[in-house]
Amino acid sequence: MMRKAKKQSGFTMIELIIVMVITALVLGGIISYAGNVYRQYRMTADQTSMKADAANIRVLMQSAADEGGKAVLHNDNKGVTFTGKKGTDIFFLRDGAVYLRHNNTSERKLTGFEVSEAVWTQDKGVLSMDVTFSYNNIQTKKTDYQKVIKDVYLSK
Amino acid sequence: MEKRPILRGFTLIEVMIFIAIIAIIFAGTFQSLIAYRWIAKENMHSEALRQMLTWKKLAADLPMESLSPCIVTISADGKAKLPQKNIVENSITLYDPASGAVLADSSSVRVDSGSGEIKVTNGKLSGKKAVAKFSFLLPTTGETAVLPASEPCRMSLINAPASKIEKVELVEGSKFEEIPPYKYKAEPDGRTIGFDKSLAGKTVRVIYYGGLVKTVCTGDFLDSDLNITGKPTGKKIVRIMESYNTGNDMETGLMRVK
Repeated sequence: MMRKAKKQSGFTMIELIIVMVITALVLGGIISYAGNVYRQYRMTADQTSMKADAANIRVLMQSAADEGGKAVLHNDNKGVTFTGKKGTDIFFLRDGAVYLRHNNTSERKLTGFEVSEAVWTQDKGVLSMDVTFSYNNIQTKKTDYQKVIKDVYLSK
Repeated sequence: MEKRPILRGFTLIEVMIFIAIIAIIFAGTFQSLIAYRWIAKENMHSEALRQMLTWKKLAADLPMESLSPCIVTISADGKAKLPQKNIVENSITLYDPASGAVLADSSSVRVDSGSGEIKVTNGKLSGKKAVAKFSFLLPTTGETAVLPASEPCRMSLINAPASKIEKVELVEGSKFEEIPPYKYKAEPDGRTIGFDKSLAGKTVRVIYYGGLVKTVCTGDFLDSDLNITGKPTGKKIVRIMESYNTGNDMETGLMRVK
């Protein structure tokens, strides 16, 4: 016995075009939105990384101060020297980065992003470090700046 | 008669697949958005936290009488002077020093925020002493920058817009020298300060009241059991808050003992 074939109906060209246009619009919107969110996310992640660098420098300076190190600012305010029992720690700005030099024997770079400015000031027992990082803002495609201030409490 | 074409809708499976794909894409995007907003918030908090902790440290050295609450003498014309300026609106309460009872709240005390002078509208309090509890704004602990060597000689501020510039100083090593106001001017948007070209290339420090996050200081007297009291005692809790105008405030405190 022969079975009767089922009637099959496909999509018309118009239907397919409408579906493709709607899908393209939805995906285009989502991709554009996601791209924007991603760029903002990357930028904020970079800024957080700069803040982390500054926070690490603060921790190093605070431990130098806590170990009895006497802080002396450099004349141009672009560095500070701690002199204590464990020797001399110099934090200073050079070639777009903040460095730590220990006992004039070892030196290490403390920042990953470029530092366009670093200024140390001391007032009322508080040593402040104002660091300005420069980075490529992927949102605006221009060089942008992120300023971070960290305080170290000096023992009396 | 013309035959009508057969109309066929989407099957349940097709609709579910479409919804699932859209849901997956949105879930990924939404997660990134949450992470981004969290980081942005964290960045703002870390700066506010620094201000708060540094002021906590500095408040330990301020004269105890200069911090809220304090004892004030109300003159015959109902006036008194608070030991601080930049008083927060509607933050003042006057207490009876003997009983600790409330004598007047902010509705009956007018405050000149800038000078810290108060005027009590209740005439019965004239000539009396009272404990004044109030909140006042603290400026930034100072923001330093090296000014550009060429014009425009400008410095941008972190806690912008600045509501008031308290002081601008020239920094040389550990020395600070106040710069007269005619040599600098805050831009109308409060985000940058323009400097006279004679200061180009110099290091300056700006002390100002920030508009984004406000640092507020207040306090209370504590009795021997460390309960808050309106009566003056030798113990004071000093509170330092970072206010975002959004309710997400941070607070720290320290106890001062005379």
